[in-house]
Amino acid sequence: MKLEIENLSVALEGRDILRGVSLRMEEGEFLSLLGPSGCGKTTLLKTVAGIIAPRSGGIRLDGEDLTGLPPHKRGVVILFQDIRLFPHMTAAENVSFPLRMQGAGRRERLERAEELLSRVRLPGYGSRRVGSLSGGERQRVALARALAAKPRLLLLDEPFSALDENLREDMRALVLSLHREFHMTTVLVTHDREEALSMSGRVALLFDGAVEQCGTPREVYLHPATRRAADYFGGCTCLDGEVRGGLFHCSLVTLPASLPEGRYTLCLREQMWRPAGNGPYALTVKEVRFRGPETMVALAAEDGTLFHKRFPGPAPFQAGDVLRFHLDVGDPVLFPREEGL
Amino acid sequence: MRKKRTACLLLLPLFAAAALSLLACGSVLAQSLGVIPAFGLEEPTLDYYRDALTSPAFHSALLVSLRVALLSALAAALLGTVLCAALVRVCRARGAMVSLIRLPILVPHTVTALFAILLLSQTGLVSRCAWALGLIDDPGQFPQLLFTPGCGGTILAYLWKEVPFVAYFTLALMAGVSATLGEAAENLGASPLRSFLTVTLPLSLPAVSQAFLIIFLFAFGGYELPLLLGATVPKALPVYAHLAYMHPDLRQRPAAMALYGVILLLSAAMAALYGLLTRRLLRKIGGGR
Amino acid sequence: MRRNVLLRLFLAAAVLCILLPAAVLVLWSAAARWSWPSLLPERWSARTVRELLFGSQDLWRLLGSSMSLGSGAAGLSTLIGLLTARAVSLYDFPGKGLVRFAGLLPLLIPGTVFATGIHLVLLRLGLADTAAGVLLVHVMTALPYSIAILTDVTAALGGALEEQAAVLGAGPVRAFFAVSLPELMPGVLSSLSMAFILSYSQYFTTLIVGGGRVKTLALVMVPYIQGGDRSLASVYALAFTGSALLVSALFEALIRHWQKRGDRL
Repeated sequence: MKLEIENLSVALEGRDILRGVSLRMEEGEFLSLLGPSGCGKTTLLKTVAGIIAPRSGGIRLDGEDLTGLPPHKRGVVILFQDIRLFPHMTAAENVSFPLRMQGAGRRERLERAEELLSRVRLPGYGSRRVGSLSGGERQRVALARALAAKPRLLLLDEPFSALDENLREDMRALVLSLHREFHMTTVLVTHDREEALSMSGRVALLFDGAVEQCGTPREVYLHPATRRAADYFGGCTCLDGEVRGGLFHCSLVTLPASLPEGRYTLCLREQMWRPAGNGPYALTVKEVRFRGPETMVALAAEDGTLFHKRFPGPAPFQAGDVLRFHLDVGDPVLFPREEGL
Repeated sequence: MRKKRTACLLLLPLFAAAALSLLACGSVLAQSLGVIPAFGLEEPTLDYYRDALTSPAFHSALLVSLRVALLSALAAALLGTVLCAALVRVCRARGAMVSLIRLPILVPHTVTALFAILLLSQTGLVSRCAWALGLIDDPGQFPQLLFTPGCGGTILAYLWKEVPFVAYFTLALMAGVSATLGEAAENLGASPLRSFLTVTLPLSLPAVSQAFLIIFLFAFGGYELPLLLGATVPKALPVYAHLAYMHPDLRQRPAAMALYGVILLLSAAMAALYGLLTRRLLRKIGGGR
Repeated sequence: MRRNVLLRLFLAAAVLCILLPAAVLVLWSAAARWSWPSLLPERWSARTVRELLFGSQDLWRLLGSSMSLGSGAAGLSTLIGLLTARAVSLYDFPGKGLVRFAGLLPLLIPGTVFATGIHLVLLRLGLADTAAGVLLVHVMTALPYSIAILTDVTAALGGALEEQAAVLGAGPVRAFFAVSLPELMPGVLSSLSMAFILSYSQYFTTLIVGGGRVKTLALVMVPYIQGGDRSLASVYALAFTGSALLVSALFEALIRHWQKRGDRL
């Protein structure tokens, strides 16, 4: 279903949580809502689901205005972070709960519940009590229950954050395959950058209750719209400089830039540094931290600017070593300089 | 907006009940000021209060009530705290013992009075045990606890109900504090007793002091135990007031209501004083929430 | 270790103090002759039981009226308690302190003043000296306890499960009954039990508000306690506490059953 959120504002206990959020989603799209904790992601989900009343703005699903509808008539299902299985029901009773609400008969409900449980790879778990399930199993029951409601819009509120790291990858794959199969419009709320970039068709960055940028994972990562957006993905160093006569100058590099003259900030990502014995840049190793599959190395330029770069495996460097690099800026990311930052 | 209206609807019955309670107090106060239109009395006056407050019978009744309430509440707070600590340390605040401790709370005051008569009177079971131990030869030698101005029996009967009440009321808080912070204190080298006195007890005080207020006010305004166990003269204030209320001469009504008025106002004053004192005390301890 | 021994002794003394009166009550109600200084009755008799069952008071009618008053008060007090607990724990509105005060009010007003005052109010409402008036006052007396118990459990459960039920298609009423109520059941049963016992035990309020027309076991028992016949007083007290504890034990068993159900899940 097509979702349109227009200029949505929400205040809770007198504090502005969302300030004029607008978002559009096409039928069957998978969008990640990415942002630091406290930015209003969960509030946005709850408002779309009708649990929180907005102060102003509109929410439309396939053209139908949702704002006056109570939560149970919206067909918008949230998979909550804290899972929220009903503790006094079995797994099958939990999964068939939405069908019971829709008035389906007992036989039909249980059949459908068993079917959905096998879809989430829990066949035969129907009669199990919720308390006897592991965290990953509970999460999958909750997912089956959300699917049973045949949601017009599925909202996933950090569904993987409560799981162990090795279970998380499994669940991500399961969610993606179910999304391909059921093809329903899905929003994933997360603060995990890699999760957002790797899972979704589009990523919306939410900062302080407003959408900072919305686009494909590549757009958002490679062409951050603001310095805040660039910083959020990490691994980037910003250099102050200015544009004069079609060129950007800073202490380290001069680049062509077709921008009006003025003060700008250049955003360098770590992968732009390419080690080469004959490279023009000599950087001094300041710190080496071994992290298993990779090693994080802090490098200082001659003017003291600090860069961080990951090397695969246990890189054989020591503090004090001098390494030489090429700098491939490619399509440079330049922002007008923000004073006071 | 819709949510606020729902909350108001949900609270409607509570507010109706509260309004009835306030109306009840208002009616007593109005009659105590001599305003009873049905009897042709419409001019408010403080005469009835003046009469009540200057009567010697009132003074002795007030003293009896204050004495019973203060002694029973203080002793119950003390013993109840010890009982609570025993429940927390020995029984981990659960099990049959806790259910047993609850029993006296469920037994009404009238039955408690009967218990006191059966056990504490000069021919009661305790007196018989004293004889069996060779302490006394004659029932007259057993101290008179019931129906005397000293009110020993009344106080003991209140204790029988209130000690378990204080323990039960404090149990959840103390068990929680003891299991977390008390344990931490012992881990830091405090003996169980020091850990209890320096950490668990101060942090359990809010519940203890609240229980103290409840039982103090209850004993001060209580009717059944002083009626069944107290002396004929002086009577406890509520018994004295009810007797005046039952006077066949209806013109005595405002005088009786003035006595109720005094009970009400004193209780309110003590509750307010308690509120002020504990707030300051709790702030000092830093346990105020 | 030594400290625990002292505490154990204290507990043992407490148990003795609690159980001894009950034993004495049983002995006295079956004693025909028990003079000072005997530690046990010298002669036994069933006179008091005959008096209780077939004597001047109609025991079964008294039990019936006490139990129905208690059940009614328990139901109403728990219902109002649930409504209040929901408003306080799940909704956001100014003046929650006022609500807490309103809930505690009957506890803060001295019992004698409350009973006499509410009698005056009920006289004006035409409810004085009626069972309905007595029921109303019993509900008001039990309400602070119901509110306290139910606010605790409602706040602990929170609104999360009902939110989940709502987004899965359950209307507000259905969400409450299907999802929250089963979880709140131990608290609801505690509140019912507490309110029942309170109503069942009321003496002064029933005396004043019922005006002598509404008779309960707790009310009828008192003249026997005031009278000199210890055996007769004991048998009435025994019938009263026995029936009260029976109901309380029943609720306790229900609560335990429900909690065990919860643990199994």
